[in-house]
Amino acid sequence: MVSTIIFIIFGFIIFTLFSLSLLNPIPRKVGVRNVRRRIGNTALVVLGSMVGTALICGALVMSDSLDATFLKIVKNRVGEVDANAQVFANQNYFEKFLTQSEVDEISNKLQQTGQVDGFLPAIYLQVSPQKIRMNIDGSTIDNFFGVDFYGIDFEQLKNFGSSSIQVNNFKNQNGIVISKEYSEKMDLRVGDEVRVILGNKPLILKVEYISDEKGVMGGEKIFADIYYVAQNLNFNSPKYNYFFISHVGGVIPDDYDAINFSNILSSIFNEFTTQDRVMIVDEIKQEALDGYGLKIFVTMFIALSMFGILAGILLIINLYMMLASERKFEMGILRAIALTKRKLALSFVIEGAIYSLISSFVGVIVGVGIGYLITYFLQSSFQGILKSTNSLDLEIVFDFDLESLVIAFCVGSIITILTTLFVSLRISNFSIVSAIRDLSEEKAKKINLKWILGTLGIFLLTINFLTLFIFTFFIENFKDSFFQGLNEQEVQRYTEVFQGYSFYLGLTGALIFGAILLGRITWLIFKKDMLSFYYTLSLITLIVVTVMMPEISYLTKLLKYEEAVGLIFISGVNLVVASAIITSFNLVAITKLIKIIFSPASKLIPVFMMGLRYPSFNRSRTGFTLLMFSLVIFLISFISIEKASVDSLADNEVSKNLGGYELVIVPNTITRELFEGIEDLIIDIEKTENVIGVEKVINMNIEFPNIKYKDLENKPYFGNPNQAPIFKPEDNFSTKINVVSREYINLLDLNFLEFKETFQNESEVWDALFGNKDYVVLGTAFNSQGYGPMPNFKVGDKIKISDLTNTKIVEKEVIGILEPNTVQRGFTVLEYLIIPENTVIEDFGLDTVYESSDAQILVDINNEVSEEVKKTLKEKLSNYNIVAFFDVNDLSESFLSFIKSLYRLTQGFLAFSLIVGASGLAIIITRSVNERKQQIGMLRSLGFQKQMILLMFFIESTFIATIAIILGVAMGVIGTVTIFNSVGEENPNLSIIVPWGEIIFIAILIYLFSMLFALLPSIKASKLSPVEATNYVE
Amino acid sequence: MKQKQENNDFLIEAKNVVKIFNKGMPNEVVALSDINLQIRKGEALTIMGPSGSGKTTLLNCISGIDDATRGEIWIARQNLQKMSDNKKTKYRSQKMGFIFQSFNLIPVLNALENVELPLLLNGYKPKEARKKAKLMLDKVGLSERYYHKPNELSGGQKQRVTIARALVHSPEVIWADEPTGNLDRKTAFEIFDLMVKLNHELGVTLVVVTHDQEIAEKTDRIIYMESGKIKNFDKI
Repeated sequence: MVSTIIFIIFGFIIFTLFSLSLLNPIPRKVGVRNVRRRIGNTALVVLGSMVGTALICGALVMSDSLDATFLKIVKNRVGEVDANAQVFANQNYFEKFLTQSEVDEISNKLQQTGQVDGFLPAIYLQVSPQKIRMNIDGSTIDNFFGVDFYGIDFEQLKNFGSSSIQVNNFKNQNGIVISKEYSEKMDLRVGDEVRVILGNKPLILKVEYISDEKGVMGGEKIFADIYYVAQNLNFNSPKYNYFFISHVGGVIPDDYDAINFSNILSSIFNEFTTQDRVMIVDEIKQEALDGYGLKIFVTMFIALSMFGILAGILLIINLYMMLASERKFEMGILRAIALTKRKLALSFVIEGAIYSLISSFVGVIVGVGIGYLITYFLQSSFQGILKSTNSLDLEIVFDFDLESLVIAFCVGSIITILTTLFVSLRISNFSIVSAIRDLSEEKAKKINLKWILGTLGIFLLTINFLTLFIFTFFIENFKDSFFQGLNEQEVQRYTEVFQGYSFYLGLTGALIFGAILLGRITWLIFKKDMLSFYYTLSLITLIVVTVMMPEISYLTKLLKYEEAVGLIFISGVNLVVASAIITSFNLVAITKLIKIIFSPASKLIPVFMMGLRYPSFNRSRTGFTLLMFSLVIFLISFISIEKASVDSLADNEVSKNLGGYELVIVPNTITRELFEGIEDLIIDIEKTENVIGVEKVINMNIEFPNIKYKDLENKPYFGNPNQAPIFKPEDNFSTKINVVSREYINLLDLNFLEFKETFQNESEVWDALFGNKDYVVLGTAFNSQGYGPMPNFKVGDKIKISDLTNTKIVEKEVIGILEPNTVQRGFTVLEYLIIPENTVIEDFGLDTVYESSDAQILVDINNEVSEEVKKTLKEKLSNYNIVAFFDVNDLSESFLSFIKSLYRLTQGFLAFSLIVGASGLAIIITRSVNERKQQIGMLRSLGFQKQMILLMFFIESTFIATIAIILGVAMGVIGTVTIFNSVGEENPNLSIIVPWGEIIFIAILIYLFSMLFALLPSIKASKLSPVEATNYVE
Repeated sequence: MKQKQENNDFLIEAKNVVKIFNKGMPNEVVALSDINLQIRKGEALTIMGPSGSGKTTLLNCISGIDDATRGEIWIARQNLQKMSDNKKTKYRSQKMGFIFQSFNLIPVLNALENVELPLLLNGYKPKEARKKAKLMLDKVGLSERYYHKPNELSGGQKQRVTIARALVHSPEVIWADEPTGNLDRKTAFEIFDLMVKLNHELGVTLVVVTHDQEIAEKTDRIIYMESGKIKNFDKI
């Protein structure tokens, strides 16, 4: 749809221009011949104009590459499977499996829909196989990471979906089929044996076959015979907890409607949901096609490229303004002898359209190159990270659609042509006499109808923005009628979002248009041009308001929500634009200041004078260049600061949340026997040499009998989807109790968001919790994002909790709430309700605790010999039923390197925008050299040496680049600190780190880069002969 | 030695000067062929001739802002051809002043700054340069226009600023290429009278290219050029 609109707009513009150029031969000839006139100049304009297209194309190529990547994943990983269904139950899990007759019933119902061509029931468990291969040293045990283990009927598997799967017949009953990926990861070969624990029974399984099949068998999976699995789980007959379902058609069915299919499946499976068993249908095809959320990168790059595109537009405006001033004389002549204003503008638009088409073509090629580089770097960043975290193994494919290239070409051309049109209309509005005689443009304003209508328009805009601003303070009174049909929380959310925007946008608009209005009124009454003054004042006010964001509750409230992205973007642009405009209005004062600070040797005075005078003379050109440059630098600083802050935050959080314990062991606690076995395991670990400390963490599932899910705001869940809370609106809100020892809490260095006033300090709160069974402390989940729906409790609230069967209800008083978790869930132990172990046992009884809990064992080891200790522990763990065993440092390391590489990638992408800035400066200097040839010749005649001309241009480009860098960095730092401080209201853990070293390094790099670009035209200028001052050279 | 003594009588001497544009190309143009010319110190000389006769090229070559293809050019006993670019530039800044038809004022500087530029280049202190530039602008009748930018001045005023700039650092020679070409008749005479007056008062050598016979008559000597050659001398 969007692409059709783009094609129509592009076609319309090109058709109109083509028709107009046919009807107007003179503007056409002037336009076309100007393109051919100086090939060097044309090349420069094309270079400057292609940047926007290149950025758009780069982002689209990345989007295509990710699409192709996900398609490949879908084919490999999901294949024929379009959805799966799974049994969830909190207690007596194995008893809740579906029986053969229930499965047959489901199978019939699915067949009746006519939409299903594959249904494969299975027993699904997560196991941690231990490889047993007899080496010279004896048995070796490798990995403890969990893997998906399926018990299936292999005959059914062969006929699943429309494709046939090749599986050989088994020789042994305990034979398993493993996927090729898993065999590579574990170095398993046919004939190898692995040891797994199903329920509480250890089994030795033998690898019979390694499958290279994709789809159902793709990914890291183990398949065993369902009858053998059922037998070992003590089932009399096969029972099932997992179902693969395939929609009719191939891997990607033609008319596949994911939502509809999901609804049909849910309605069938829901019939088998009972009071203590939930059937969950998960549509996985569309989810896989949508890229598991990774497409956010594309959105991010497109959003970031907006800054680059904006800078590119400014560059184009600047280029055409320069082109116009260079040709002022001949334009005056054309106007005098033949062309009307519109026809003159048309000649420029025709010329611009030719540049646009050529530059968009070049831009598309460059964009494909950028896309390739970024996918290449993305690929190298992801590899390793994802492998080490045992998550999605992603191989990023470079790919692009012709359509994307055409869209990039069209959008790039449209932007450039429209910019040309805007500039052409502006520049065609000059006085013929001034142009021919090189006089300054008459600036006197005439009060005519146009002026009156313009002033009226500005007045109305000012009033509108002012009204919007004032409305901020009154919307509370109208919010219910304004946001009708929404629930209370939504009304609150939208009110706060509206207030934030109406406050900031209203104020921004009122200040800008107010300044223009005041300027016009002052001129009308006092005949004085005060616009610069009013602008400076209003823009300073705007900067002050933006910087005061953390103090303005309307804005800090908005920053809590996702909708704040717009505010962040607008406030960033505001800071840069305002500071660039203020600077360009006050360039003369700045140059005077520089002259005072740097009093050069007397012979260099003329060089300094000339170098500084040109930028301050061409105020709008310098302003545009500053803006273009500083926009890009602003963003680079922003990203640097964010990267540094998040890095340090993640580092702190990981070590803080686990109290320095490195290893996490997750024992299987599916039965009471296994649960009780943990104590032996702990004793065994404690006895291990170089183990410093062991901590048991128990997580007990509980619910709130008085709070239903339907009463809660629906918040997103960012964790493993398999562990996402399963609930129906009518269900009681359920969560967990986290049990740790008092000693371990001391190690954690936790901070409270708030605690009961009766306590003096945090230590007293913990003492009270461990001394009084009626108290509870709330963990990080209650005020962090990503945990799904959560109730909002306050200190002092009395909360009622019960076990999942509601047999025992207890009441607790909230005495403290921990600070939110700012990094990512999963690195925190104390996330939910924190209650001591003896209290939990006293409240619910040992039986209930065992039945409804899982556990983790945290181990602190001597870091100097960590590898040896880990090896010893692994050997010991082979005697126990363990689900997972991992080193937090590895996880956090990979998590950090993931974040770091993302930021680095973003910086890299922005570095391309930086080329916009630097090459923009070079192009402007090159054009300045052309424009000033005669003046340079005159200076050479007057006695300027070659080096002095070089120095003059060096000073000029240094002046512009330095101011732009200072503005960009300053506004980047101020903007980021402001935003972080505003967000910090919600996240007290978030401390901002400004990496001055890195920023200064980047600033110097940007400066050197710009100078390198500006060097060539400056050398060209210095080589100009004094004879340029005379008239016989063009 | 003999040659130097001969040159001693002349401030400028051009010997067999040839200037060829686009040499060796199909569009080769011989702009000057075998020019011999001597100019005495303090002399006011006009170069006349039809368009394309090589007047401006001759002026550019003998003033050293362009290089001759062949021949010798001597200024104040120094061979211009053998001077380095830096030395030539320095010589220009100290001993020469230029006036062009299109004024060639620096648009970003005001009248006063344009005039003080040669002084600053010659190492004058800013205050001293400013004082001298003001005096020169007063002399050309622009005491009311110190702080006007070039595009705020009329053609005649611009050319006065150019004259002030050409003379402010007391050069030995002024090169003027069509100095009155962009001015109306009355202003042209005023300007040229001013130049001749300063030539007499300050003893500056004046070399002028012009089409205007009446103006040329005001100088000591006129040379006529045609097709890159000096056709005849007048008023010697």
